[in-house]
Amino acid sequence: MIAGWSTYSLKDFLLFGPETYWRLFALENQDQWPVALVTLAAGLGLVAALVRGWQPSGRLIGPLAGLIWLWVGWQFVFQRYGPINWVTEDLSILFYTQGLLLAGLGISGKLRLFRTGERHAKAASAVLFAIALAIYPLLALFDGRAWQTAQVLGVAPDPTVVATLGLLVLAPRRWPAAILQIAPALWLGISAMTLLAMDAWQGWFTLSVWLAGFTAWLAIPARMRGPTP
Amino acid sequence: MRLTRRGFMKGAGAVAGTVAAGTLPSVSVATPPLAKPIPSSGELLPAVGLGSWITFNVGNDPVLRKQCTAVMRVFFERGGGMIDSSPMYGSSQEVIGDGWQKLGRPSGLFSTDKVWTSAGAHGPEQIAETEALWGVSRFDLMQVHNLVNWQAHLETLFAMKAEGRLRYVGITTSHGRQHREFEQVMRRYPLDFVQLTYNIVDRAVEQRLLPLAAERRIAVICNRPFRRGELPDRFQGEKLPSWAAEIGVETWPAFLLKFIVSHPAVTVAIPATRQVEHLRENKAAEFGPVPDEAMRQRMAGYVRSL
Repeated sequence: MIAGWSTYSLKDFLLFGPETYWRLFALENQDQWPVALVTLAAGLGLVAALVRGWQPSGRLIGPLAGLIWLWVGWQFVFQRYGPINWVTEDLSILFYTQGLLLAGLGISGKLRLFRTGERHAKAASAVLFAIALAIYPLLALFDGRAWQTAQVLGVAPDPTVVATLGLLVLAPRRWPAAILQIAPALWLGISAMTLLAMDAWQGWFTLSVWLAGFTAWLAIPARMRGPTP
Repeated sequence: MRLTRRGFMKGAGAVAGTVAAGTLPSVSVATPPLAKPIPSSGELLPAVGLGSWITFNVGNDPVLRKQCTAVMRVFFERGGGMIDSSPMYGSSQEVIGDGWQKLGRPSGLFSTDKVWTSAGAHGPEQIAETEALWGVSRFDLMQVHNLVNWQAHLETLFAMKAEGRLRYVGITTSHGRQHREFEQVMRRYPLDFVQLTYNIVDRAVEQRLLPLAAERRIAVICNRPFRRGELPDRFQGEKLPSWAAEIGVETWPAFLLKFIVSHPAVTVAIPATRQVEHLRENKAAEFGPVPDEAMRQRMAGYVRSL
């Protein structure tokens, strides 16, 4: 549809301004209240349980994470973000697919978590969860924006995707987890490009977090294959 | 909605300054507000319109929608004119339609939109959807966006014009792209309008496209008059030259817009904003003396020196 791609810059693909973009999160938090509070509390509870040694199976975590992807894909990506960015209406399919994959692989027992006691994997997972739960909401304040524009796990896509990276770090580097890495890579890549087109430093943050999460998954499970059922 | 000479003068509360394309006098003309004729009809169009790229794409945000409506209110209070959008601009079309309805469908709207689909057969359907979003029964001007499948869409648009379902037909480009193909279409078809990028630093169209538009009696719409806000931001800390007062300019936006709309071949500039104050500054460019060629060169030279 567009001729001469080389003459276009990243900014040329941006359809909205920063104010409109950040206000999406404020409106979503407001409309979905107290979902943000519930997901935040649930996330913190999950982390606390994991720290105390709880090792839930993929059969439980997979469908749960899948539901959150479906919810965020429909509620935020399609309904909230879609009206200002027609690309994301199509991209919501990414969330539905990932949601179904997480649920399907989880229920079928193919999403295998905590296969070894590798400390590094758990540490990487904890860091990624901490970023998703605590750092992402604080980015608004670091950026000088109103706290209402905070991006919260289970409401906003980016922290939801980063939390999923934290989950995948605990999975062996085999095909089910590899497939589940595709949607996070695509979404965080597009999100980072969008932020960079708005001259927002969070774009570099997003890219860094994805790179760290993906590298951790590549590196850690390779050394800890462990027994497979 | 047709903007007649009588209607415009009444709405503006002043005698419109008619500056015929291609016949701009070498001395200043001080008859505000500035309106320029569409060469194919002689109909007058206020020289400063309203774009909607990015600024009006606010989705369902009620606060930002109110800002858009407020900008439209002041736009119509100041004589109205061209409001331009595209199916590519996200929710902008819907936001314009919503604002116009909320304001009670004021007169003075020169509704302008685009067809933007690679499938020629989908063009009529997209145009019908766009009419519904705006709440208009027909558009004043419909353009082929960025020459996307222009062969099929121009056929549709000229047929609609012949049937009275459209008043004017045009094509668009931006960022200085596709000028060779653009020129070929301008030479081959009886276009009423072309839309292109022209501002005080992006002046490539002065070489061929603007003279061709004047020769072919095609009205010219200038997009990116501020390079998406970059130019006012860049010059914000700089003082306007003392001689800016000679052309009735008090702000950088008015300075930049006045340079554009004073070109003899240019009909209208379409800066986009969601700020009422910026809209006022933009519309101020319609008032005061119109720079002559010597003054325009002086303006461009001053900007180059900064």
